Amino acid sequence: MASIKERLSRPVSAIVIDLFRILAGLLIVVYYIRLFREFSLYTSETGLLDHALQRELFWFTKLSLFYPGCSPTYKIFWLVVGLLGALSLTLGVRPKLGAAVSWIVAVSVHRWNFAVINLDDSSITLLLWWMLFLPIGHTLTLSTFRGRSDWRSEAQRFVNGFFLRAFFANLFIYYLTAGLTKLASALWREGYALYVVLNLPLARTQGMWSVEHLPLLWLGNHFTLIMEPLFPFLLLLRKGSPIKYVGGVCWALFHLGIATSIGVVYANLTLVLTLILVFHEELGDLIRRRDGEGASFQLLEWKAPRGTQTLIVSYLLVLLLAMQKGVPGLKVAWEPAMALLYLGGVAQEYHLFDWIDRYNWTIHHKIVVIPEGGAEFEMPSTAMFEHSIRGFIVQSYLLPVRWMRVPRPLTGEMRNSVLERAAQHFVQTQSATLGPRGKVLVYSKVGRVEKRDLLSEELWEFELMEFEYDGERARITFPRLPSADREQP
Amino acid sequence: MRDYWVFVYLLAILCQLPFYWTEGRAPLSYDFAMDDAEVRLRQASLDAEGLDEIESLLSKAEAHLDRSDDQSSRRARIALDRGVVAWRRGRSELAIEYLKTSRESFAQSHGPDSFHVAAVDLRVGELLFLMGRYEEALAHLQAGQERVREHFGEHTAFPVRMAFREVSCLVTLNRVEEAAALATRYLADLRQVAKEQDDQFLDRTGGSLDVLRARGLFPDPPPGFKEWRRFLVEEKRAQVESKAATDE
Repeated sequence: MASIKERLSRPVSAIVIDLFRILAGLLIVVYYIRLFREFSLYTSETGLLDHALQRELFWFTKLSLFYPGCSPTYKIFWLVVGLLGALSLTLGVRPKLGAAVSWIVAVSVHRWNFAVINLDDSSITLLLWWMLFLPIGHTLTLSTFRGRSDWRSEAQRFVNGFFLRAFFANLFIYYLTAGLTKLASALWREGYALYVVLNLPLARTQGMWSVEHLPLLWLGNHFTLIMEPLFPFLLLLRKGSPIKYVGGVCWALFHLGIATSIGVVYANLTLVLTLILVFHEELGDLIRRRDGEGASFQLLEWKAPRGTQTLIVSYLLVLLLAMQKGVPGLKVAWEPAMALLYLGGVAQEYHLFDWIDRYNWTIHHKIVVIPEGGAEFEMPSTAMFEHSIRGFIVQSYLLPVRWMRVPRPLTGEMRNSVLERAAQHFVQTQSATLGPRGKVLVYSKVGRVEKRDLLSEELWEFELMEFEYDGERARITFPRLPSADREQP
Repeated sequence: MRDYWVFVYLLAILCQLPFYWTEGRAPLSYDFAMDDAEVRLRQASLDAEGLDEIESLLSKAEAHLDRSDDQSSRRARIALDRGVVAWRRGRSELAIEYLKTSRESFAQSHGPDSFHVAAVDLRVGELLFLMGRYEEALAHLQAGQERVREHFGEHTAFPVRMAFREVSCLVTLNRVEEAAALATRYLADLRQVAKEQDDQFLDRTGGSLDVLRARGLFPDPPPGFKEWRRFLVEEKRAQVESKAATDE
């Protein structure tokens, strides 16, 4: 046991880990900026999410820094605190404290906006969580940038590598879960999954792919099936192995390809950044070579707080159990394990796109505006729901699918709240185009993109809703809602 | 202090437990009881004792709602399941009453145009059809169809089943032209979803199609079959066997 621990604790280059810290910190800073940009859509009480209803549906999300009725200033204050935490992590000024603060705020935001949380968000949690354990902040800090510390001498510093290797174990669980579970999907096995994913409204390049591209996408589909479970094995290859370099290029191209074509940018960039750690030995050597001759190896006396190693090993075991959904014999463990991760503020889900056979729904809207005394005109679907993964998730609550497991039969309450808020938000944001008073009709075309209907010819159209507006107030007239007499949000 | 961080973190996790216990007990207990009841309800054969157990689970779920003063549509779901239990006990009138309560409750919580209201309408229609109250059945079936088709798509199993219940109703009420038009529209879908239907449904539906055929309003079944009734049951058997072979 001691020898295993010793082997896992072999020193690693401190500067490489801090390079990862800086780039991850920058990604988290950008993520917080995105949270500010999305504030009016999701975090705000007047956005697309009914937070009070959400707290009833997902009762376990109540423990958060945010609470119903808290002012926008209060919420923005916490987002600023989270952003400052991310900045301090990036600059290396009390980076662990910064990561801890930023992590608490991020977890709170995720609970508050639980209905639209996805892999992008959980990847940020993952990064922040590991920043609490990785030996960061020993090099490339603000002092280095100010010239008070020489990066050449910092390049000679080494730290205990236990947590880096524990992070690699996390990557193993990540890729094996994401890769192997796709084999259970008929669409993936038959080579249609990538085509379907790219034609869903969540994809950035939706509408650019037709059946003529199927051979190319079949290749991409099978590249994913083969390579994804193999990526973590790069971690086992010796330093400088040509296969490792080829694998690293495939790894980067794979994730950059997803980020460009589908989206999920934060999750994919997180995984591209982890390549820095995968190639930590090679990068460490490269940096030290630039330092020139003569500098001496320096092992830093850094020790994690007592019990941290046990904690992280326990976390990895619980994470492994939480990924066993659907695995015979182990599937009973996934829910309690996931609950435990959730309690610890580090809930993760690595079943990525293996759900495509169930969530292959597409939805488009035609918005017809009839202003009072004016001629009717159409507005684009994106005027109501943004073309993004969150935008798609919100619309999923209008379909017979549930992104988050809304307890039955409360899907009806959720659907109504999305309709009401979408109408209200549309009226508020498009008031200049709409004019003072009028009526809006929204027609939806929905259906499944599947093997027997690759051209989406069997989508069906129906009237989603009809509402009247007066100034910035919307009143839904169809469907008849139970809240018709109630104040609109 | 630094050495106690892990302890503080674990303490923070433990401190949350009473909160989750308080907040989660009612909804989780409700969900567990309902999931258990619905899994049992899906069993093909249930004796009186099994149905009693389901009733008791539903009562338990209701008690959790009472304790938490729940005003959501959860109660509508309980009424719906009680309706199914009564149906399976053979107490059709009581089942209709429960289903109508459920419909009313969904209309209040989701709105009268909601999918759930429409879906319960179809179930009420089906039950009334089986009870021989064809006029009322037709009204409920026609009230719910459009919304359910919008929700699931008209070619999926549930709307197709209900379309053929409507066909059978129309045939019984001697509105054969309407029945033939509807049956022609969904025949291909019926063949697609036959494997998901029970034999009694296929038998009764086939009988209605045979009536239409006898009146010259509907085509003959595929070669090798004299009756639609026989054809549909055979089609189902072939589909089930083919699926089993593929799975193996």
